[in-house]
Formats: sequence, structure tokens, C-alpha cells
Amino acid sequence: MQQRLKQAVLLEKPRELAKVASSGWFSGFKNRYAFHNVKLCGEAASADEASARAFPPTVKKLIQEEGYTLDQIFNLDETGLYWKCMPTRTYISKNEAHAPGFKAAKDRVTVLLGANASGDLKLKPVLVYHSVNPRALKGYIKSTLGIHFRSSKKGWMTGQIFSDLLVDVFENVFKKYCKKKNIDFKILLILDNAPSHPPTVAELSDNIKVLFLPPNTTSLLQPMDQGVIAAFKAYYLRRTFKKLIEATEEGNDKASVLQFWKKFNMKHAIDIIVEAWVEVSKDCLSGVWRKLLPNLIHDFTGFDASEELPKITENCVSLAKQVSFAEVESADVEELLESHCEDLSTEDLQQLVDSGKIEDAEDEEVQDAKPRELPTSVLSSILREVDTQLQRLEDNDYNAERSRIAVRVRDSREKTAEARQSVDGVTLQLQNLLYEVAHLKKEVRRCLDFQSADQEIDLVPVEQFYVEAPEYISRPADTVEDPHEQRLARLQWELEQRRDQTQLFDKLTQEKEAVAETINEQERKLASLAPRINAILEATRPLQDALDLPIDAKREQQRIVQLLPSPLYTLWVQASAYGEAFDPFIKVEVFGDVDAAKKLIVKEEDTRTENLSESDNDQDQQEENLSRKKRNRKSQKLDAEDLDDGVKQMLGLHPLFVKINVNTKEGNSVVITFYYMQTLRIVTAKCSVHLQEKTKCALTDVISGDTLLNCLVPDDDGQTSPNPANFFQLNRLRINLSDHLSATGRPYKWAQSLSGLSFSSSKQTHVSGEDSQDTSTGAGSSLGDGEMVVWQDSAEQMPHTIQAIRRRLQARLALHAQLVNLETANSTSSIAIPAELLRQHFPGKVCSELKSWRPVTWADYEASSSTQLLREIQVVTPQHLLFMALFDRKHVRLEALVAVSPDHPIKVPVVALSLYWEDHFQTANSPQLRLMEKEVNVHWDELVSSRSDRLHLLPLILYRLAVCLDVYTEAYSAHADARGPDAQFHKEKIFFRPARGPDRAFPFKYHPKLGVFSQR
Amino acid sequence: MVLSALKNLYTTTFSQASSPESAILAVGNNDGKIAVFDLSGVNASRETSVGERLGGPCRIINAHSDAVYSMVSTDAFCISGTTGLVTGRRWDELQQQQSQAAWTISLECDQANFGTPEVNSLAYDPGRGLVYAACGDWRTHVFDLETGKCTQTLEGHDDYVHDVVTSGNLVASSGEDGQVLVWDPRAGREPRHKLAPHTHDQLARPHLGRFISSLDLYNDWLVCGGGPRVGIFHLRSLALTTVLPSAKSAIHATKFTRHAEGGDRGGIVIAGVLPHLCVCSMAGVVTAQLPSSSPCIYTVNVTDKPFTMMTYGGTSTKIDVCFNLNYRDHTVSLLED
Repeated sequence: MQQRLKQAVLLEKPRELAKVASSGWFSGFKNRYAFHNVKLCGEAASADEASARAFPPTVKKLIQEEGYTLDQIFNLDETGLYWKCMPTRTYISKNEAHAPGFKAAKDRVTVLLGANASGDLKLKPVLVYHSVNPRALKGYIKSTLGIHFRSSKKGWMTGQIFSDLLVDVFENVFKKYCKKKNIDFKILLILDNAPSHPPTVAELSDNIKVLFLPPNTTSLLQPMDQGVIAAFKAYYLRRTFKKLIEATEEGNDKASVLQFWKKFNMKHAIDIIVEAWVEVSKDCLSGVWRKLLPNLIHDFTGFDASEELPKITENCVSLAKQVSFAEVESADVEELLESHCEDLSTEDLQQLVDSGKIEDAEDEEVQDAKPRELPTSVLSSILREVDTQLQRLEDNDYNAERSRIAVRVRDSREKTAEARQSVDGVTLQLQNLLYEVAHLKKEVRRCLDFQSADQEIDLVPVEQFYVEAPEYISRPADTVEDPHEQRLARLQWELEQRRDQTQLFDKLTQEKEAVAETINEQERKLASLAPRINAILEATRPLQDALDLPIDAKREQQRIVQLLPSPLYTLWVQASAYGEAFDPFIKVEVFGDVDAAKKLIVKEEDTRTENLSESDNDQDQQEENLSRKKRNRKSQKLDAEDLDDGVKQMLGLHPLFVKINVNTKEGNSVVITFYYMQTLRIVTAKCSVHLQEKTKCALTDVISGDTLLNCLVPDDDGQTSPNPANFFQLNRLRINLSDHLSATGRPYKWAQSLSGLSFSSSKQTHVSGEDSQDTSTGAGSSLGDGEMVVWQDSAEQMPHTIQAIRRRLQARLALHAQLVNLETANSTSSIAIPAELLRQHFPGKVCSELKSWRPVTWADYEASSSTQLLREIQVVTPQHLLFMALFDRKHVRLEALVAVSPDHPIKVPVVALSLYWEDHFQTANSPQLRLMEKEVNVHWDELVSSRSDRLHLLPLILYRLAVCLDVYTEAYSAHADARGPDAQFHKEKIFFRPARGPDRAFPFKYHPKLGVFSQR
Repeated sequence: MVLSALKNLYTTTFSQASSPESAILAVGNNDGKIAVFDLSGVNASRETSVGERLGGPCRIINAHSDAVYSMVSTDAFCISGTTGLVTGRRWDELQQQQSQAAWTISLECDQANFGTPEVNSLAYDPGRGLVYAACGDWRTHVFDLETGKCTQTLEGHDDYVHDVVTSGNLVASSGEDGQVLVWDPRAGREPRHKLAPHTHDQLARPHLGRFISSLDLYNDWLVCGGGPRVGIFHLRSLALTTVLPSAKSAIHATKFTRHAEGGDRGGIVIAGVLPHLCVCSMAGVVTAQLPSSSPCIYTVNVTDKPFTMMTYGGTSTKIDVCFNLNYRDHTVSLLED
């Protein structure tokens, strides 16, 4: 314990400072101004000498084990430094330096000093200040100050700063030092266990081993505490004085001293710290390790803090005297040096914090609050400590009262321990008993739960047992009363019965096997029957042939039919059903390569299974893709060969096909062969006509199979695929389906519907009553995307289609006959028209003559401007059969381009006229010619009164044209004045008015009953 | 479908009439149908110069069983003439959904040989409330609209009468016989003047015939054409003053359109078996040639109130619309959508 009185000196006016001469005056001054003295206490750390004694050997052992040299052993320690502080009796004190601290708290910095045991490496001092950016250091680069500048709120070292320093600064310094010295980079760092040295620093670096001094041994062991710090501080003070003297050399007056002191700031202090630290000698640094490493510091050259310090102190005092601090004594200096170690009071701290805030408001340092910890080891050591201290108290205390309390405490504690021991014993006993109880309870429960094996056996009820069981087993006398005996008896009975049943079971099993054997035998016999029956069938074949019984062929067909693709199958089924039901003139057969079809089916199944096991497939596909890529790289455009293959595949037909023979009563027949295009998924039809009598003429165009079935339903020319998906498939390979029709047959729409295929049409069809196709009602099996096989559809379509085909054939035959006739005709009268019709519709005499009749091409037709409007409204399309008829009446020539619809005569021939009579007239420049054209194109219905008449429509129309030309020429002659007499036409037809109405219409309309012509 | 397409192909527009103030345009064709157009939208757009086009017909009336050869407009009625009938329909009813005739006058069928005569042309004299009907029985019948009775019959042609017009006190008719007869009906039954254009060498085209299918009157001037070329006659001197240039084919429509926009130079419209319509001045200079969607034009209708609108049609299902005499504005289909 050390108590000192310190005086805080406050001077109101700097002038009066000069008058300060004696303490006597000073005390008076103090009294006058009601100054008071402030007591401040410092406390030396209580030292644990025992630990201190035990520690050095441990260190030594460690050093020997690990092989540290003195260069590698470091010690670091902080010390507080009041950088702006003079010994007590100097008059330097400021207005602000009042109580409670003569040393202004903010003048305090913490300095971390460190060096190794050899004194070789003096670490750069670390200065911890309470502010991040002190005003005095503004503008200085902190790294150039010669120290490491750090800051914390209190101006103390914190664990955070220390850890950072170790990692950021010291480790590198150590490393460099070791490299320079050419020694291993392994450092033993000895630290006291101050709060600023957290235990975690031990783990910060692999190369730095941290050894903490035992608690409370700092003052005894810590090398830095053994004189280095003291020396440093003394040097600091001395240098401060020296500076002071330098500053005030000339004037030597107090004012300049104060002036200097006022200016004295952190920067100056740092300069002095650096110099002072340099001044600390190597010997000093090495010597202080003596206590910690007594055996290692051999080269001790006699540094002794106790010798050195007073010298410096003296030095200081003499210096102080120079600055007219006459009253300074060495004791004051010592006191000052000592005071650096003191802790701060709360007020100090408050003031410190405030001033820190003032100094730099922007500074927002967050000090990491380290959680308090009290490890058990620490606790036990504390308790041990208490014990030892109590012991010491007891041993040393002069105050018996006090020591007795200690003894009493110990006694009662011993008593407590005894009591607890007995309680522990009893508790243990209790535990044992409780365990035993639980065990017994468990046993009891197990016993209660026990069931004997026979309880699970189902026994016959007691009554039944007595009825059924023989006397010797049931023994009613014994068992009725005794349940146990009864049970035994029942069990025995059960056993007996079970034995019987097992025997029965065995017997039955044997019987079953025997039966199975016989069944096998019979099956074998049955199997051997099949070849024999086949042989018999084979034998009957000649007979069948002879008797024309198609039994066998039918069977064969049935077999092949199974191989048909589903659309063709539908077709086959429907067609043969229709034929059987209504139409004996229809013959349906299946032809084709049966083996190929079988193979195809097998292949399909294969692909299906392949799809199931896709993992195998992936690789193949990849390879395929690769090869495809290669191929693409080889040639940008597809090889011709490749393309051919593609086309072949695309247009591939199923090997089987269905042939339908439609016979007419006259003995003519149409053979339609239906194919299925596998890739395109459409049905195509080829058609051929077989006539009873060979036609003489070569006009086979009209009845050739190729076009016979065109437009069986409207707009069905069989040129394009009805499957919309095919457009893309074909486009990709640049196939024009119409180029391949001769090979594939034509994909007529009616063929699709006969086969039950329905495609969504590109045009929305307005459902009309007659041919509405309600596909939703048809029960069908899905075939692919957008395709449905609809049986019902097919069935509905079949009669219509067959009839249509018949009608078509009939019409075409009729047309054919007419065309043959027209081809040879050279006059109007040679146009073959039934006499009755002729009489009915035309006057007796016709002057205009049909000169020629010839087919023309679409290009010819298109070239004529008279056909333009007809083409524009698409009444005539390239599907039509086109002819040119020429009529003459003298020098007047009428050209009629006749377009016969493929659906003739359901669709009527359409005529386009042009007239040559001095000039070329067309409907555009001759309203009358337009009317004539209208007469045949619009009013044809007057010529036909029945359906059969329609077959003669073409000759009728031609005849009509001839008559019209008569009328035209005669009517024209009637009103035109100045024609030459040869150009005039004598009026032979009877009409009243050659012209009528604003359009001057000619009388083209014939009234057969009156035999006159009139305008419409 | 093919049949109806073919029927449309041979459709011919014969006559037109527009209601007072051009609210409605009625177009008659060879099928006895009258297509009714609502012009109110076009009227409004002309005023604001938006330039709206004439849409399709707002309705089509089955007016007659035979062709609607002629039409004329009075303040209240749209009068149409067909074979044996002259029928009046109220303009305001035409627009509504009524197609029944307000009145009908039947022509007498006294000459069996001719059959029922057709009404080739109609003219209206608003001053006296008379309608003149040029008929197929070689005569022009005059009907009083008040009574519906035939008040007079103008006879003089030796063939059927093609056209009749009236202007002021005069009535002029032209016929298939090639005569142009000018009457003053007040003065008596005999025609005041007789003209025979085919006898003029400048006009005659014998190979086309002598018929005069169209004529028009304006003050002292008369224009006519048909088989012969179009000529302008001065009625006081009965002299042929101008021969209008025309193509080699027959003429079916001639019209004075002095009041029409662009007609200030005396605008005479000439049309016929030509795919275009000519506008000439009184001096015989062609001032405009408007293309036509019909190869042959039978009817030209020109209105000048409240604005000039000329529509013409013939052997097609379309009529062409102009808003002055200089160019065709657009073409409208007569078919219902």
C-alpha cells in the first residue's frame, strides 16, 4: 500500500505563476481560494510468489524441448504513460488540470513495448490512444511516426487490438527477423494474462507459441516490468525536460515554459517516445529476463534497474532545476514514474470519453465487448486461493477474533461435508431400493402376461367335443368336473383329428397328380390331330376347286386380312360386308406380298419394344445423329441417291392392297385397287376400267382409270394429300405428290373416308344435311396424330361411294359414246340426240352446222380471252375436260369452248363463246352474244326434264348453240340496214321482235309448243 | 353455287333512281331485283370532306318477275318499269324493310302479237305530275300520278320506244325505228318535231342499225345516240350542230349534265357498249374518259343535289361511283355479302 498526497495546482492568472516561490505562499493561496487536496491511490498488484517460483523451470523445460534461442523468445507488455505530465512540484498545471486528476486523464496513452530475450530486436512501440485521429497528428501518415498508432475508447489496449497487432504487424516482423537472422521462424511469446491478452491469441499463428505468465506474477517475472518500462519512462521524462529546456533556453522565464507546455502535443510526445525507446539499451532489454530465465541469461553485463533508475531520476531533477522547477525532488520524479501504472477513476474515464468525443466526433469505434468468463479451473484456483489466504490469515493474523472466524468457517464447512456424505449414502440406498421395486414389478407383469402354447389352438366347442369324441378320449367322468383334464382331452381329440386330415390330404394330392397325367396324355393326342386334319383339308382342295366352293380361299383371305394395316382392314371389312349384304356385283380381295407384310408387323413390334427399352436406343440414336451430321457436312444439298431413298421411303406402300371389283349389269367393271402409304398414312386408289366390248376409238381419256374417279365428291381431284401433315413431310423432301400419282395411285378423299380415315380439313366445311360427317359419334381406334379410323363413317360412306362409282362409270360411258360421236360429226344433224328430245326442244330446221369438235388443252382454254370470267369465278378449273366446238353459218363462225366437268353430268358443261362476223365478238363487246352464252350456261335446265336426259346434256347444249346462232344471225340481219345482200340472213325462225328492251335482246328463247322464239 | 356464280356472271344493271336530296340510290337489274343503297353516310362525308365510300347495298328487293328496265324518281316515289307494269314505291319505305309497292299500273296487253310490252324508259314531269313511259308497244303512255290513269298516249314510232325525256313543256322520245319525236303534249297528239339521225351521213352507222336508244333534252338542245353516232340538235332550227366523237360501238346512254360538278363546260355524258364512259363538251371535245367495271353501260345516274354524284352500271354486278365528272372514285358491288 502506498499513499501519497498530491496537490492539484490551479492558477487563475498566468501572471501570478511567476510569483510562485514557496510552499508557504502556496498553502496560503490554496486556503484563500478554497483549494483542496485530492488523494489518489495506487495499488500494486498482489504478487503470487509461489507461482512465480514455480514458473521459470516450466519455461526452461519448454525452451529446451522446443529448442528456442534467446532471439526467438519475446515478451510484450503494455504500460500507461501520462505523456503530458510533470512532477508534482512543478508549477505547470493548467486550468483544465483540476481535480480529480492532476494528471489529466486524456493525457494518458497506453504504450505496448516488446523485445526478445537477447535484446536484439526492439519492437516498434505501439501507442493506443483514446481517439482515432488526434488533432496533433492531422496530416501525418501514421506509419511514418515510428510507432504503431492504435486507438480505443479508453486509450487502453484491448484484446481486439492486440490480436490484430499480432497478426498484422508482429507476425511479419518476427518472420522477417527470423529470416534475417537465418533462424527458424518459431517464436515463443511470453505474455501476462491481462484482459487485453485474450487466450485466443495463442491460436492466431502456428509459428507463434504464446506462453501466459501465471496470474499475479507479472511484477515478479514479466521481463518488461523488470526495468525496461521504468527505464523507458525515465528516459521519456528526461527527454521531456530536455525539450523544455531547449524551448525555453533564451528566456528562461516561466511564461515561455508555459507556452511550450501549452503547445506540447501528441506529436511531440510520440517523438519523445520513439527517442526514449531507442535509448533503452540492449543490455537493459536482455538483463530483465534474468528473473524469468535465470539460467539462460549468461552474458549478463550488469544492468540493474535499481542502479540505473536513480541516475536518470537525478538527471531529471537537475534538468527540472534548469527550468526553474526548483522544488522538484527525486521523490517527485519517482512518484510520477510510478503513477503511470495507475488505473483511472470513473470520473477520469467519463472525462476521457467526453474529450474523445469532442476531439473527433466522426470517430465511431466499437469496442468489442468481451463476454465475461469464469472457467472452472479459474474458479477452483480462486477457491484454492481463498483457502491458502485463509490459511495465511490464520497463520499470520494477530487478530484472534478474525482468525477464529476463519477457523469457524472451515469447521462448519467440514461439518457440512460430513453431513453431505451421509446424505449421499442414504440417497444411494434409496436408489437401490427403487430399482429393485421396479424390477420386481416387471417380473410380476411378465408372469401375468404369460400364455401357454395351447391357447392359440382353435378347439371344437365343448358340446361338440362330447358329442363327437369317443369315450376313451373324452372320458366324461373325469373331465366334466376338471377343466384341466377336459382341456387335455380336447387337445388330444384335436390332435387325433388333425392326423386324420393330413392323411386325407396326402391321398387327394396323389389323385390330383394322376388326373393331371391323364390330361397331359389327352392333350398330346389332340395335338397330333391337327396335322391330320390339315392333311384332310389338303386332300379336299381339288374337290373344292372342282365344286367352286371358296371355303379354303376365304380362310386364306381371312388370314391375310389380319395383316392389313388398319385403314385397309376397315375398307376390306366394310366393302365385303356391303357386298355380302346388298350388292352381289362387288368383289373384294386382298393381294400382295404376305411375307413382307408379316415382316413389317414383326418390325413394328420390335420398334415398339425398342421404344420401351430406351436406354439401349439412346446410343444408337446418337450414332445415327452423328452419321447424319457427317452426311450433312459432306454435302449441303442432299445427294440425289439420298433423296431418292427418301422419296421411296416417303411414298412407300404397304405390301398388301385391297382390290374392289365393281361390276355393272352391262358387264362392265371398275377395278379399284386401294393401297396404304405407310409413311404418309393415307389411302390411295388406282382404278382401271374393264369393258365388255372393246371400244373402237382411242378416246380413252374419258374412261381411263386415271381420271375416272376424279371429283367423286366435290373438289376431290386426288392430286394432293388429304392429310394436312403430309404437306410438311413432302415439302421437306421437295416431293410433289402429283408427280408420283401413277406409281402410288391417287389419294382421293372418298378413299380416306371409306377406310375410316378422317383428317381435319384445312377448310372449315359447313355441315350440310346430305354429307354430314359427324366424326364424334364414330367409335374408333386412334391411329396417329390427327387421324382416326372411324368404322361408322366408312359404313355410311360405302353405299354412297359404290353408287357414285357406278353412276360415274355409267356417265362416263355415255359421255364417251357422245364424244366418239361428236368426234366424227361434221354437221349439226349428225349430233346424236334421241329423236324425242330433238323434237321436244328444237325447231325442225337448223341452218348452223357443227363443223368440228376437238379436245383442247387447258393452256389453249386459258389463252382464249372469252374464258376469262369463267376462270376468274372458278367455274372452270383444269380438272375439266375441255373441247372446242366450231359452228358455221355461211361466213359467220361461232367458236364454243366447252368445259365438261369430271362430275358430268351432275355438273353441267360450261360454254364460252366467241363469234366471227366481220369482226370478232365476245361477250364483253356484244351484249347479245352474252345473252346467248347465258342461254346455254344458265338456262340448260329447260333442255332436261329427267335424270336420264341429263346424260344427253352435252349434245343438247351443242344443238342449242347451233339454233342460237341461227337466231343471232337472223335477228341481227333484221335491224342492221346496210349489209351486202349476201351478208344478210333470211329470217327462217319465227319471232315477233328481233330486239327488245334497252339492251336490244335477241329472241333466243324457244317456245316448243308455239314453235316461236322470243326474248326472255 | 356454280349456278349462282354463273347467274351473277350474266347479271345486267338496267336502271337507277335516286331519291330527292340523294338519300337513297336504287339500282334495278335484269333479274327484277332492286338494290337499295343508303347514301346518308356518303352525304355526310362529302360535307365534311371525309371521302367515305359507298358500301354494299343495304337491302335488295325482289321488285319484279322480269327485268327492271327503267326507273324514275319523284318526290315521294321510286317508280320502276318492267314488262307490263309500272310500279311506285315510297322512298321512305324502301329503306325500311318493306318491299311492297305503293301502287301499280298495268299496261294493257291489247296487241297479242307483241306480247306484253315492256317499259323501256320512264320520265317524270314534276310540274304536272305526269309520268311518261316509253313502251315496247311502240307508244309512250302518259300517266297521271294523282289518279293512276293513263291520260294520254303518244303514238308515232314504228318500232318500240327506247327512251323518253321531258324538259319544260317538251317531251322527246326515241325508238328502235331510228326516229326522235318531240312533242308538246298540250298542243295535241301529233309530234311537234321529227328527227331521224340515221339519215344524217355524219351520224349514220348502218351496220349497227338505226335505233336511237338514248336521248336528252336541255333547253333548246337535244342530244341523242344509239346505232348512229351521238349528235346534238338545236330544236329551234332542227339542225345537227355537233357530232360527238364516240367509239365504233352502239350507244346506250346520253345525258346533259350541265349542273354537275365538272359539267360546266356543257358536260355531255356518253356511254354504251364500251368499257368506259366519255364526258364531252357541247363543242364535241372529250373532256374525260372514266373507266367502267362493266364492259357495256346501260344506265348513268347523275345527281347535283346536295352534291354531284354520278353512278353508272351495265353488264356486271358492279356499279361505278364518281363524285364529279373527271374521275371514277370507286366501284361498288351490287351483290349482298
